[in-house]
Amino acid sequence: MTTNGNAEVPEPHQWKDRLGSLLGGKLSREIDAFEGQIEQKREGKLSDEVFAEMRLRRGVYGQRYDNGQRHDGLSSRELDFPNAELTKGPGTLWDAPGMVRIKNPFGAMTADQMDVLADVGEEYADSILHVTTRQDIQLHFVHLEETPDLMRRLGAAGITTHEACGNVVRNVTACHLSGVCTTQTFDVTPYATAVSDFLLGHPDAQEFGRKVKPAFSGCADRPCGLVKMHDIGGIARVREVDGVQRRGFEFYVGGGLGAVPHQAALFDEFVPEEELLPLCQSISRVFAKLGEKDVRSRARLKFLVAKLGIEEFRRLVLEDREGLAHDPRWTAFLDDVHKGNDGPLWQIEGGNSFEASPEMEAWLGANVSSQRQTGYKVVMVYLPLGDITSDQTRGLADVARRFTGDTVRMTVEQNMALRWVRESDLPEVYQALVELDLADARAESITDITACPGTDTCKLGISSSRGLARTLMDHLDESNQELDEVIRGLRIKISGCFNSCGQHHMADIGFWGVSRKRNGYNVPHFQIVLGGQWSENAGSYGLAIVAVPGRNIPAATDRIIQHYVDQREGDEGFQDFIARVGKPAFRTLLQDLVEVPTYEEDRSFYSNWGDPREFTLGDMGIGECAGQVVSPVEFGLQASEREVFEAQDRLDQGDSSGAADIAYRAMLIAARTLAREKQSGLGEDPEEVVDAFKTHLFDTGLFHDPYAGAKFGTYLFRVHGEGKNGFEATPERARQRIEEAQLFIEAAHSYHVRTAEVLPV
Amino acid sequence: MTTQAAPEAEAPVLSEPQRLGVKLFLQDQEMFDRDRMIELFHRWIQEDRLPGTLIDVHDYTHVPGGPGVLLVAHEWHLRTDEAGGRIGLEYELKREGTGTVAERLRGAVLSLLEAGAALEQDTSENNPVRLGVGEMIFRFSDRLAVPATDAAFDEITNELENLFSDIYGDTQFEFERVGHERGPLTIHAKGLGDGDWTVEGLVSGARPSAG
Repeated sequence: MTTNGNAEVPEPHQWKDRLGSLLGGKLSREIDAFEGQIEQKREGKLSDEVFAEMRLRRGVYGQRYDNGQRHDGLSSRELDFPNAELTKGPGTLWDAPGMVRIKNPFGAMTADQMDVLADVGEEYADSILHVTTRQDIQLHFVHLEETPDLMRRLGAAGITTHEACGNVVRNVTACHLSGVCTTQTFDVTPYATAVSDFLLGHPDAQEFGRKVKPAFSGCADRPCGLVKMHDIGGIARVREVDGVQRRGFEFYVGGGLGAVPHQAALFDEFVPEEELLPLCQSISRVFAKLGEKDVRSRARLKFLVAKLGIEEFRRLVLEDREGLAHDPRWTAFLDDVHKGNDGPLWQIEGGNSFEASPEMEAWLGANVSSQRQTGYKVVMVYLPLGDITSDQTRGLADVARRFTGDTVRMTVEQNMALRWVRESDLPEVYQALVELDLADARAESITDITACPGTDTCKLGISSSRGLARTLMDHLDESNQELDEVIRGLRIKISGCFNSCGQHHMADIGFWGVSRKRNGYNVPHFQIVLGGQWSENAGSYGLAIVAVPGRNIPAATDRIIQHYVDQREGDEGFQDFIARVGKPAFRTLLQDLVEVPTYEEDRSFYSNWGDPREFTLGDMGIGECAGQVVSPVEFGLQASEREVFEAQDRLDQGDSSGAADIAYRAMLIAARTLAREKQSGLGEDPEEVVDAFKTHLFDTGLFHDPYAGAKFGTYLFRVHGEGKNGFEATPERARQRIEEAQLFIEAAHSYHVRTAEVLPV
Repeated sequence: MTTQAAPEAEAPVLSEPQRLGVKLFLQDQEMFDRDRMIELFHRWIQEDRLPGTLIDVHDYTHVPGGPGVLLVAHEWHLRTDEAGGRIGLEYELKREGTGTVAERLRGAVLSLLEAGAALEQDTSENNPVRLGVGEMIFRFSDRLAVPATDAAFDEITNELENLFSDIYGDTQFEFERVGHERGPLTIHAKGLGDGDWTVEGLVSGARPSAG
């Protein structure tokens, strides 16, 4: 109760009433409107598609099994939710728990914000805050009707979920060391803040075909910002102009991972700081105007840049920039830009000598690094698989208040960094973290494994990325003491499917989940990706070597790292080693691990790690990883593209026969994907697939290109015939087949565009 | 500093919580097999072992002090909670609760005891899991309904004394407010004296008809 004069006034019993004054009018109205949309949807006044886009733009996602179907290991069962007829999106049941993504620009949080995040995680989710590879926080198992209050509580603490999802500008990421980094050119934090604030809800950034992910990095060499894998990104640069040192950015566009990874293209070697926001605005406008809208798998900025070429894209953007009406916000932030985002709580006093236990020594070596400011340290708090409990979050907020400038930053490796810790405080910080079970000395090492949610919660997950990560951590822990020092610094990253949320392309050793039919069963596998470059802002991507059953991945990992230890020359790095030894040698090294024992011999091969149920693809749902839903057709066509990518790799390695086979497989996947729409239950037998494609799509003329006619469809028949009649896979013929596969898949995309019902969003 | 906790209050402040957790501790912490719980919870879904819409099993055993193995139902979560370094079985009502504060407390305790009885029964043949029933942890994450205040603590403990007299008879309990100062209201209830209670035996006392 509170008092109002002499009368006692009850505390408001709604978060809306209690927090109203802390929210601000605009945010309060937006959340009220969303709450109203929920009610409208409940009353049947909004379509599934429209409401799905509305909630996604508020960061409210679906989650695995939200179609009400789950395979329990024996059979597929319906989940008996109370409101069985009510939906919150296409094929998405109202009562099914979902995920909420919370935006934290450049991963920064204050201690007060951490307290609120702890509270909402405990009350609305499962008491776990999950840190993502893009410095967001995700809560799982959240009920739709509780999201408005969740947003109000976050909003009162200055946190938003707005545009954490949907076809908009996503969270702006940046190095967690910005401002304290020993190698930075300057602190990119205020620029990341400015871009985030400027583009949030900006009218020119609302009509994209897909999401746009921005990133900033303070230097070119270190990977913290990962600029080159982002849609737009800047690396800090200083240039002398007319005798004056000017700040700006080496600016990149069109990077991205996903099924087919693209390295970003250099847009400009130096974009002056005052041009940063207008440039982002013009890129948004050109993307909104010319980017693909109907076919999701072609709608990212990377495809537009590739289609137009960087020269033409640049010309169009600069032309648009010329015509932009001036906006004072473009430069208003520059007044405060040199102030920095945070600073020390305590000034340095006296010496820093202390004695450390062996455990603390290990922690100091693995988790603590020096700042550019003498006497201050960055303490990395390792979070297993990016997870932290609500209790730990409150405790870590206490540590931040007590020892730092009150700011914690999440990292792209799913950890949290405490900045501005005095060296003399390290023993007390260590002890405080030990009491919170947060002092594990493995940050940024081979056992600090990154994994996307995978089959745990993601509707698109094929294999269990987190299950494998847990297994590998335990496995490597057992041999950790014996690991060579050069091995400890390697990175392992795992995705549950080809969509790369676990960033497997950039790892020294990456894995992504696939399924293979073996002995009449679906068997969870992981493609092994070697040679990705984590440093230099994700400087290059690795390529798939071979798919290995999930059960054999620990053994495969052992072999790969032991091969490196045994065969490396001098100080040779892992990436150089892979390049020298060659990927075919690794395929040979792992060949016997590809074998799958029969079901009767070892049933464990037929389950995911950490999940005793027999493996099935039946639990996969319609994904919502961007504004619109991912149809099975698009998912299938992406899979076929990934195969073409692998075929090209095989050819590059001199394996013409393997390349030709994979290209053929890619065509079959695309053909089956389309034919299955016409013939449900269509199997994987090549003869059946080609027959079904011919009957339903080719003979009917549906697949024929409006301009090229039947040409692309005939590629499939010819390649299929070559398989039956014997095919000599010379390099030239293999290359030709890959090109034909690409054209066939392009035609499949075009067919899909022509026939797909465009959702009325 | 932003605070969302309700201020200290002198008058009754409780309303019916939508979310509340109850935990029993394992008797033998060392022998606990986490992997086995994953299999067991999956089997419970297959067998509809517990009332409710059972959805999935989630593995958080990699998180120190975390939720352990989590069985997610539409109405509740059940987990092998490891908070505070002590493993236990925690039932948390998440939604669809009905009745007064007292009825919801009783319902949560009954649900926990029934799940505990199922756990003990289904592990009885090999390395049996046994739950200690002389103490419980109550956690109220619904801060609007049950603020983390001394007044709310007093009201809840009054309700718990009534409930425990039905379940445990004349045994006295002491109640202590535990947990982080900014955390939800969390109460450690501990029986005074050595009772020879069993989980199965307490279920009937927790049923509404007995109260």
